[in-house]
Amino acid sequence: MRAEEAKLITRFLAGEVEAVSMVDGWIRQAASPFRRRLADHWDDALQDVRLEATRLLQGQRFRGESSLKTYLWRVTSNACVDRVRGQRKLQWDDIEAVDQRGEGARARAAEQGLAGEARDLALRVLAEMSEECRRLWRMLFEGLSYQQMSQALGVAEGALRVRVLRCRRKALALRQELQGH
Amino acid sequence: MELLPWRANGSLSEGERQDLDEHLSRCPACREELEQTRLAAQIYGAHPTADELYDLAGEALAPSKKELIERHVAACSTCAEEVAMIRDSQALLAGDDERERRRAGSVVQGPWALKSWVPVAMAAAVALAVLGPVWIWMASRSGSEETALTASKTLDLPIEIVRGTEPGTASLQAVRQGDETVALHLHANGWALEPGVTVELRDEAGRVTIVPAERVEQSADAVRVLIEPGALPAGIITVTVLNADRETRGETRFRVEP
Repeated sequence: MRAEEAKLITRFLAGEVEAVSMVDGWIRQAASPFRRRLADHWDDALQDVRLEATRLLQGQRFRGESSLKTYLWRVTSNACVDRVRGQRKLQWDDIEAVDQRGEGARARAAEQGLAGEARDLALRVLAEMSEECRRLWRMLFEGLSYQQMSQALGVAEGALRVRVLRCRRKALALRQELQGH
Repeated sequence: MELLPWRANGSLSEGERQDLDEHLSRCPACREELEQTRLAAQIYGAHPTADELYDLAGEALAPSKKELIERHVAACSTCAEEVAMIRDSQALLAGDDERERRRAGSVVQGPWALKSWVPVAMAAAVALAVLGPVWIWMASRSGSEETALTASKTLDLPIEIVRGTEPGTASLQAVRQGDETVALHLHANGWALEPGVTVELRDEAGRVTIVPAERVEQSADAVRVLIEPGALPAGIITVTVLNADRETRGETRFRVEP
């Protein structure tokens, strides 16, 4: 790590106005292409990035493999992408409360333990799925009700539910196949 | 149990949700269905990590991973949008680095070396401007001979202005200046340009060149940029005008024909 960057980090963590302002300027610049997409969440996203940057720098995660600015640029960009994605996640938490035996939670924990491999597998499965299936689930992730989806696609509600179920089964069958079961 | 995906996306009515939850609480088979649905959602909701998209945008992804990620992005509009925003962010970083190098006194050579600029007085430039068609075509046009801009013609192009939350518009006029130089006149409609704007040109590969300050003239509502299309790569060039805060920015595109 270059000496002046080490100094800048020390000054930033000490809260020196000039250093904070410089880092904040980089963060704002790096995040600016996401501004319109984040809309009302823009300020929250910037705050997330500031906290994440502080956490990483405090934890000495920056090793100087790139310049500090380049490193913070990546941190900012990643945090903004995560924030954008956070707006379209399905919510399982309150269903967990119903699932009193906690099997779902355990299974999910096992999945998360293999996050990298499980995600690569999921991406490979997804690449093989039909455009129709991907479209149906995209609409689900966007929060559309089955009535809205049925109307948008011009199919009966019952038929729609069966299609979604079929897509679910196809994806899981392919997942098993790719896993070698 | 067919309703589980909609239970997860929160769109069921209160009555449907209560009925489903009650059933789930006493039916082991349906809890298995819940798990199956969750796994399917993981598959359909799978996206490359933000880090992988960052590396993809910056052409830094390992070949073993690149194909899988590229294939996903090609079929996933949300990831494609994210990659575009990441690329814009990376272009700002490249632009900022170039500005710093310039401030440090080094000679700036963009990815495309702009030819040496011969200063032309504004009056003389305007006189030259009426002489003939230019060889820049607007991106939205076909590029055929009939669509060439003439010196006296101004096209109102949609130009995206990010200025807080207020949209703005601008127009761009391309005017030939002698044999090799074209002046781009960007007129901001209803938004103020602050002193010290930066003008960046980005080619289709995402390479950014900052137009040297001596080639940029500006007033309160217009910027005049002198460029040499012959020194630019063929294809779509994105022009971005940024105020000093880098948050008020105008962007439009033109095409350089081969």
